[in-house]
Amino acid sequence: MMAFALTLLTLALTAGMAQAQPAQGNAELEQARQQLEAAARKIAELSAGAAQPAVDIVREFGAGGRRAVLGIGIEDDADGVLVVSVSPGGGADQAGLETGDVITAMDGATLDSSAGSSPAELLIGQMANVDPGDAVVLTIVRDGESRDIEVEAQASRAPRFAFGRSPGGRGDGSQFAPGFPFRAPLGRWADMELVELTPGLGTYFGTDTGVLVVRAPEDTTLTLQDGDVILEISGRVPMGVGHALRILNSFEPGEQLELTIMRNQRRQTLEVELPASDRGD
Amino acid sequence: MRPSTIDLLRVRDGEPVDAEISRAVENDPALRAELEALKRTQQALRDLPAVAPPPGVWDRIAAHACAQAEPPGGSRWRWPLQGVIAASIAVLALWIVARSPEAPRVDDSAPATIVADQGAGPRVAPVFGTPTYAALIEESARLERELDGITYQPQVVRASTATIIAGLEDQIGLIDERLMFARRLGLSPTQTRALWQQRVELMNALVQVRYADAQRFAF
Repeated sequence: MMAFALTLLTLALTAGMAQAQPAQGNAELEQARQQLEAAARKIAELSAGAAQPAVDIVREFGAGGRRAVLGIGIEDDADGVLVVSVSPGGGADQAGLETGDVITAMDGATLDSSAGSSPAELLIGQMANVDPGDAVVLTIVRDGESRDIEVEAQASRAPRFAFGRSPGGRGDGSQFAPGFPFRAPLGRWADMELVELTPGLGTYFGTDTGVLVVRAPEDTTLTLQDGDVILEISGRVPMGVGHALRILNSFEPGEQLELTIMRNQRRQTLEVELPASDRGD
Repeated sequence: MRPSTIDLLRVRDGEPVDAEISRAVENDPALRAELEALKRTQQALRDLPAVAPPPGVWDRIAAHACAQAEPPGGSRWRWPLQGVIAASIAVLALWIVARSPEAPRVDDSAPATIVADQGAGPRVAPVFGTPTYAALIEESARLERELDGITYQPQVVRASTATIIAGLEDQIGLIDERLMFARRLGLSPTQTRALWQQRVELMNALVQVRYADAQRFAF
């Protein structure tokens, strides 16, 4: 049943491409895609090299705590706090906040300059009492209408950039090389193809959450197979494809990890020991 | 409605666009010049060793472009995606060139836009000038709208692509954190503007990668 479902899924997602795309085109597209990703990586490298991206934040706030952020840039506004940027993939982005929104209150506390203080500083001050994972209610004004939006605060990204590893330790999904997150991006598993499992698809795989392995990597280190659903990685639950890869990329050569998966509708755990020599890139 | 950069890329690559967009490009000299700049950008890519494509690829892509006038047969899908990826690489490559130490210096009045070079010839330096603080914020917001416009749905994604996207998002998020605490961190206006410049560059890269990835299934 699972193999059938996987075949259906693969066909549904790729049949059109395969029909419209001769083998020669596949090779060209693959080359072009690699060029595009190389260019994007180069942009990030140059950007990271242009400034000390995180050290000053860690110095100011310390690296020991798990400071929460909403994923927005803000400025003072006459009516509250103006959102000037929304971090893609951040808590505010996922909640639907948009650049141009004006935040007038947080958890019911008004953000204005009536007391002579900066509304933006008021919001920053309130965030000091928020932990990652907490939900805060922002009252915003958009197009003249007021509404409440609930945002889940996320952990600051600064420690992982500053030290390459957050205080959480191994396998917490937040480890990158200091100052730059693109070190050896999953060299061993770059060819793996994944998709977030939807509830509809989940009925075929025996779970309604997880990340489905549509195509397992040629490298057999992870011992994954086509059709596996990744439920946990060393106790951490991946919230999507990007999150799963952040977690996988957080392990060092020689480390061990556990993959909890659904295979043939049965839950099982794979013990994986990463090679000590290199990351396969 | 002013056509977006992505609209212009579609026009350039011969993809179907709304009649309103076609008319706007046809009737607006500035848009036509922008379209020409996009074509020059594509051409300029061939001279960029840092992201030089494998031999023969671009010639074949050009051949596909010439074949657009002919009945497409069964290859309706392939050229647009190749065009999208090629355009994406070109835009990113120009950012890379502009970021390199030997990049030419430009005046401070240049606009903050990816394809603003409307002058004659393949001159790309003004695109990467040192725009005003307000212009950078505006460009950043425009790129956020572009990103929001890319339809998201759960789809198969390659690990390498997903990692690039996650990394770009993380880096943009970190910049937003620093901007949030700019006053407390004692950042100077110059440092703040540099952060906005980086944000625009990273957002641009993210839009290009996300758009190309989304187009894989736009058949």
